[in-house]
Amino acid sequence: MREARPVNASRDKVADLRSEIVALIPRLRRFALGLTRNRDEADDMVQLALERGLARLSHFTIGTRLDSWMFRILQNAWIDLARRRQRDGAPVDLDAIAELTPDALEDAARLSVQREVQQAMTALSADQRALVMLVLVEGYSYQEAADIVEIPVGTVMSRLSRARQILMDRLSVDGERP
Amino acid sequence: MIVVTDEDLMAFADGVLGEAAAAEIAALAAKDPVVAAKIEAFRQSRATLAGAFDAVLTEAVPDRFLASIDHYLPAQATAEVISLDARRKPKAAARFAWPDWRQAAAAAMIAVTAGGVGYWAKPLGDGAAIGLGAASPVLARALDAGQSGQRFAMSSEAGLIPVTSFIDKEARACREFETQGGSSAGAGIACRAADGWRIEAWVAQPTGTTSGGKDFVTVGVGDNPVLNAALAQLGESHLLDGAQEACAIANNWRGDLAACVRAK
Repeated sequence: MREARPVNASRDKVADLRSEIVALIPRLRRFALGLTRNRDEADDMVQLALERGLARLSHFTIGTRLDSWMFRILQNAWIDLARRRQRDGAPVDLDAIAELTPDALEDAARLSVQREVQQAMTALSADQRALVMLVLVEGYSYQEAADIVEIPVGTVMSRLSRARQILMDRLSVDGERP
Repeated sequence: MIVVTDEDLMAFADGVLGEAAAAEIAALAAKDPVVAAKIEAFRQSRATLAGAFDAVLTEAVPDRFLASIDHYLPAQATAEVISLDARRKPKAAARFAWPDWRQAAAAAMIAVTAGGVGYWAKPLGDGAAIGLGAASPVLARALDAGQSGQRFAMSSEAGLIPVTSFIDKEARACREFETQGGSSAGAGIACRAADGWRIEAWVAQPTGTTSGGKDFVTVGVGDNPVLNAALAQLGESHLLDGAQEACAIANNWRGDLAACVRAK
């Protein structure tokens, strides 16, 4: 028989960190999907953020919030991508989202909301989209969102209030049309 | 006349304004329909957006994400090592007794259950009778580094335990393993080919069997007809003991495995 290895605290921490990152993936995908409508691009962004985050894991302070940290990295990956798009021209992918779960009726209804929202989000800047997702979808406070995107909370509030008005203008106009 | 900004109205709609300021805005909204409409729009924006993107939350996590995580944060073996003596005993004789028709049936069963191994295997391979394809990076790492009986925690639910190691009739190193975690729970056999670990057979844990937490007794490789048939096809020529297995791990399952066997 083999002898049991002594318990190693740092190993346990690594296992915890791993579980926490795996558990965070669905939310990272949701965030990315709000930033870009293109599903493949959203998942590529998540992949990039995971790689960047994991490579810099030594900079993460255990005990602080991993979710905020990973959202910040994903947000930065998005800003990089948005800048590149501005320079190179954006790939447009309106229909990819329709392939999400095509056979479920409930999902279809839910996805049509998602599609409308995604359509309306195109009127927003990259910064505004991120704030809308962080505060309205992810449920972060203004201050938490400010910490994630690293801008003052006052700026978060002014950008977010503007973004929400644009969104509601778009969504209600669309809703009134037959 | 107080000056009320859109930010104030938004904060009011979000319910994060202090009591005194909230009272002022409520009073203002009561007499100014433009203010009331703005507040309502802010409320609606939250209500509309809140669940708008939730469809993706219930989708399976792509393997490539897990592979990235595994690259930087290898799944760790936990401290406990489970006694496998009971499993090591009923070997060889009974295993090789299955008649040929039963092996064919077993191969068919494996094909049916292969879907569940998704977390552990790459997309299924070339349609060999029993071979299911290359092991995922996650599985490969556990098979490379794990002593039999060590549990590798992949996430809060998923885990993997190498159970035994043996040399097959083609002199390849093979390992029986058990997997835990939802639809990935089961038992299988992988062998080390030149290009890495290949899953030779895998069966899902029968529904109704429980494997909670550290109690990893699931399918039981030793008494599953499908796996026994796969073992019979592979032809177990030598079962590695602990020291031989440690030698094989140290050599990354390559090199002269025969030397590890002789080193007894």
